[in-house]
Amino acid sequence: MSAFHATARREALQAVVGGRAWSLAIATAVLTGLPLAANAAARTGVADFAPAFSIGAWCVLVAAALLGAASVSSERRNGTWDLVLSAPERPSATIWAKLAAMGVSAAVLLAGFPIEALVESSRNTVDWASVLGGMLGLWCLGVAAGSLGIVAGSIVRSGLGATALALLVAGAWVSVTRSMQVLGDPWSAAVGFALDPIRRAQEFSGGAFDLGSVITLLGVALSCTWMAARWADTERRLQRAGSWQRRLSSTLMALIALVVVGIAARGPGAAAPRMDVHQLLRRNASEALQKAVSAADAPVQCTLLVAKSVGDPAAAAARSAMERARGCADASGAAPIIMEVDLLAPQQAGNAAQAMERITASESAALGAWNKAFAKALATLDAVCGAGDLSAPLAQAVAARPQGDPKAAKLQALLAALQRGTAEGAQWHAGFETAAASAPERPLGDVEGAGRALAAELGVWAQLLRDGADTLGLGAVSRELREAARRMVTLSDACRASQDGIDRLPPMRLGEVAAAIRTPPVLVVSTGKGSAAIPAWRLLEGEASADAAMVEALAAAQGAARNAVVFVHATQRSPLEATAAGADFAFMADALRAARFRVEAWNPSQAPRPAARNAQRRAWVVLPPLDRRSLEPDAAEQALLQATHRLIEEGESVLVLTTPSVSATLGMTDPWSDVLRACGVTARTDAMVVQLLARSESARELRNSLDDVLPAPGPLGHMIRGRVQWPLPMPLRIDSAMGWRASAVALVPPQPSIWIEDDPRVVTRGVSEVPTGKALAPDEQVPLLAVSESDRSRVALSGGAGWPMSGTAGLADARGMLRFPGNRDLFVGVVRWLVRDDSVMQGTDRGVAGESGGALAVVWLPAIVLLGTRLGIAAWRRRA
Amino acid sequence: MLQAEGLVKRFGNQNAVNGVNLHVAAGSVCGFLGPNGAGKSTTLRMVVGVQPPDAGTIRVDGLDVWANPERARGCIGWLPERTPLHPDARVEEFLAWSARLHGVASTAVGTSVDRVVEQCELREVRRRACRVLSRGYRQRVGIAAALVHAPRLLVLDEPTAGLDPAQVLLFRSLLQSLKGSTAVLLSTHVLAEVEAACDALVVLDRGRVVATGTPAEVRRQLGVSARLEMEVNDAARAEAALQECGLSLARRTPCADAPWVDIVAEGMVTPEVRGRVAQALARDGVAVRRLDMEHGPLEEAFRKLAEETP
Repeated sequence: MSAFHATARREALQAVVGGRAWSLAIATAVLTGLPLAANAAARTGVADFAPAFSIGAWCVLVAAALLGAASVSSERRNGTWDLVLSAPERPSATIWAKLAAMGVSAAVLLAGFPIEALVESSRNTVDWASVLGGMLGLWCLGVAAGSLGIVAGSIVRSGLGATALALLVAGAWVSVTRSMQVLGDPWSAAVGFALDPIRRAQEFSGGAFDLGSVITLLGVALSCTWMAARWADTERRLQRAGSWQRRLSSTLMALIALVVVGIAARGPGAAAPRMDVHQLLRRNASEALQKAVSAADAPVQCTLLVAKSVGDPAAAAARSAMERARGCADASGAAPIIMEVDLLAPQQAGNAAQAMERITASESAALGAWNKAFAKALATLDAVCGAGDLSAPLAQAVAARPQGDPKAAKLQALLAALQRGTAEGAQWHAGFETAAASAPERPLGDVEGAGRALAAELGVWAQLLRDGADTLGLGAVSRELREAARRMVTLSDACRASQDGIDRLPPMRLGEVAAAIRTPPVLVVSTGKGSAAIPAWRLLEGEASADAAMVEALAAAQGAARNAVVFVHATQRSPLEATAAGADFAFMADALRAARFRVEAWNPSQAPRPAARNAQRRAWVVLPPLDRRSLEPDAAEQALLQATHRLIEEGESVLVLTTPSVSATLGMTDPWSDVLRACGVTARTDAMVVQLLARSESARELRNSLDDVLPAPGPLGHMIRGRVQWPLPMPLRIDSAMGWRASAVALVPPQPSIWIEDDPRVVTRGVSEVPTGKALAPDEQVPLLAVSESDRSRVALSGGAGWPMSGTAGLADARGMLRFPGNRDLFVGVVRWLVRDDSVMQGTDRGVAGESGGALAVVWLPAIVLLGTRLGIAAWRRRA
Repeated sequence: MLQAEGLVKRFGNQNAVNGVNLHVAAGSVCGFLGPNGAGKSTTLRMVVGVQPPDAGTIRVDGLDVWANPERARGCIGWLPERTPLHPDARVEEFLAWSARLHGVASTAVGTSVDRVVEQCELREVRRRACRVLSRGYRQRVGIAAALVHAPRLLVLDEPTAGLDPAQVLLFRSLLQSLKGSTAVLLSTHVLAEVEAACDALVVLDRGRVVATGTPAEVRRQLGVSARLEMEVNDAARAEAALQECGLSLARRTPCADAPWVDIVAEGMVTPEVRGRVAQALARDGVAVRRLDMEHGPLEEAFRKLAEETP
């Protein structure tokens, strides 16, 4: 063992104080810092280390293979390999020592990650369990890749050849396993997945300690090193008979061993036990969460639904929140049940079913009522569709009426509907049943949604039948017609009764949960009274915020009343319905629902103002028409304007999203620009904030959108956390108003390339230079979003309506991450402020100016620290 | 200490070593000579157990190097032709690594390193990185590494290559200090070194031993005579003294500064014979300005061997 100790000690010391490993560590730190720097601009709230670990896996794979190859080839180059061969112990002891030292080298390669995490923690929440888990995975990968290098160094005598072979083997390892995964054969795909080094390392980046991956990677390391050791041992006897056979057999055995270990540990059917690193780093839940759990009806269950959650920071934050909740006790004194289900993993189908059963059980009382009402409504629909015998008397009545008689047309419509019902009734029945039943993509089913659709259908039938009966006349001469009219009335009453039966039911949160789990990761909180879903993005703003979201969810599951948001509009189509162009508020409505708001839409020209239903507070989001080219407002817009004024006069909380207007160009006043003048804020809807961007040295582009906004100084600016995209920005003006305190939330970034343009010709035609005197002064504050508060009410005004729309706020990148999470957070934050939830104003201040510096720090600071460490070691050694 | 019998090593169809026998007595210094490509390094690699012989046996202190490698190799210290060093390691770290590699107990490593640092005069550089050392120091560190585990057989492959005269002298004194305690197998081209330090010689040519024995015996076996060169003031009496010692006059040339004469004598010239000549000249009152033993004949033998080697 002395040779082992001697070499392991020397190599480990060399890794720590030598230059090679540190140089590669610096390169790794720079490369892995790039995605963090890029993501830093996105400001998602939680530092996303998944891309860094993904790049880090490749860096470590290559760097460790190079280090492994160099550790053996340098012995040959320096001539010390001859000393090893002439030493009393076998050369294999030296080879094993090199593997042991690779552990130290791999750790040095990862030295940049903790520094990057520290830099990130200054502005984003860092999930340290994910960082720790990711580093562990990369360390295992580093040891495995290092063993490949050791093998290469043992086989090839030249240093260059060994390096080339190491890279070739590492590349072949990845490409072969990746190819196996796309061959189409499930078994080979599973084996390829099990042995894929990058995927094995990435298993850890979500904060999970995947024992199967550890065994696989270290199994690869051990089997490869064993092979290298055999090659080294036979080197002394190479010319003797049987040496090459021994080498060949050891190579084959090593390959077989690593495949068998990989399959056994992580292949098809392997147990693959995982431990969440969050358990090791678990902190106590906040007092509010402890109280909420203890007040909740048992059993309390937290179910994290994920879909390939590897490296997802939202899932990691959810795991962390669940672990904190596990430390609490519910009303029965038991700890909440924690479950995690990967919806895309077939082997977890059993767990998924169990989780869904538990979630469904939490709503069992409401679900029973819904099922009963739905069954009754379906039976009514069947009865209507089965009334084909009414066709004959109806046809007779239609024939008896003169052509062009409007009553005949009504009867004709009913006749056609009944004939269609007779023909397609069975399909309709099956369609509603399918919509209500659970399916793989909709594990909780949607009896509430299907029931509401059925109720709407029955409402139509009720009206048709009632109209038909009235037209036919109960006092019809023919007995047959009288009988038909009576049956129509009966059926109409049955339809109306079924519809009322559904409409009277309280809304079931299961539908909300069912909707939420379509976009995993999502954390479902269930209590004895009900369930509530928390989209994982709500857990991303740090532990305090995550605990607050859990408290809200528990309260919602217990049946607490919700605040309401009403989108007031003047369009035929509801702004809450998704459109292909994204010019809607469907995404924001989902975000508000996830933030425990009840969301409604109201068109004042078509319906009376919705009544408050158990809502604690209501916020009104007023949406002036998007395309206002007419000189005078139409009737719907007039109604909207009047309704807005009335809401403001009544002291309701109102957010007005203004839209551009050409009124000023035509010498008229835009009524929406002054809608909140009494509150101290007005919008310049005739002007636009524009920016001149340089596309190249000669080409410039005029853009009427801003890629980010400046948070206003003060607590309100804290509402802006993520990156905000603001299309068609219009400047606001803040004036003094009696009894109102107006202040800005978001400001135009004061850059020389940005100015306020009131000439529409410039916006449409474009310019090549910033107009003289128009550029914003460095200290000029131009609000884009402002709020105003009186003792009685709160209002907000936005210079533009595009930023909360689905087309901007819901824009996601290739990984499904929101590109502008700040739009969502700002909108939800303003609405929460309007309903007097002032917690949104807490947070850390940040500035746009510091962002680029912070992003660069993620790349360069680790490199500088590592370089400094290396230079310090060198100086210390030289002085010694 | 070392008994190698019938060593054979083939590389393809070529016999690199063909039936070499080596015997090195305990405490003695054996010179291993031969032109380039004679098979010296291959033989040494077989002796230290790095390369297996195709035939033959090697015993060190009675232990077969290939049948009982762990114990036999523990008795051997080896300095390969290219000095092995870890460039980034300090001298003492490298020596400590070498000591541990050869099985020195952890508690004794420090003492062993201190011993060889003193022995090889490495005090000044013991904390320096190996890569910054001069060639001479590197060679001394290599020798120290070969000695650090106190081997009973020291195998040195061209140890003085590249050393300056002072360092060569230091090396010779080191060899002298090892005499009696450590058997040394010394492969070298420097014939003066062989003459000065070796008790026995083995000359290898094309994989075969062509001469073996003391330096004088080897010279005889190789069929070459030594030469003695001197400058004297009385040529006649000097020729008589040479005849008396069994040497014949080969050349007599008057020097520019008469009466001095440059005389070259041939015959069995050994250091002892040179001593006898010196005594005879002194007895006869002949003034001697120079009396050198010329090694030309051994070098000539080398040259002949090299020329004959294809």
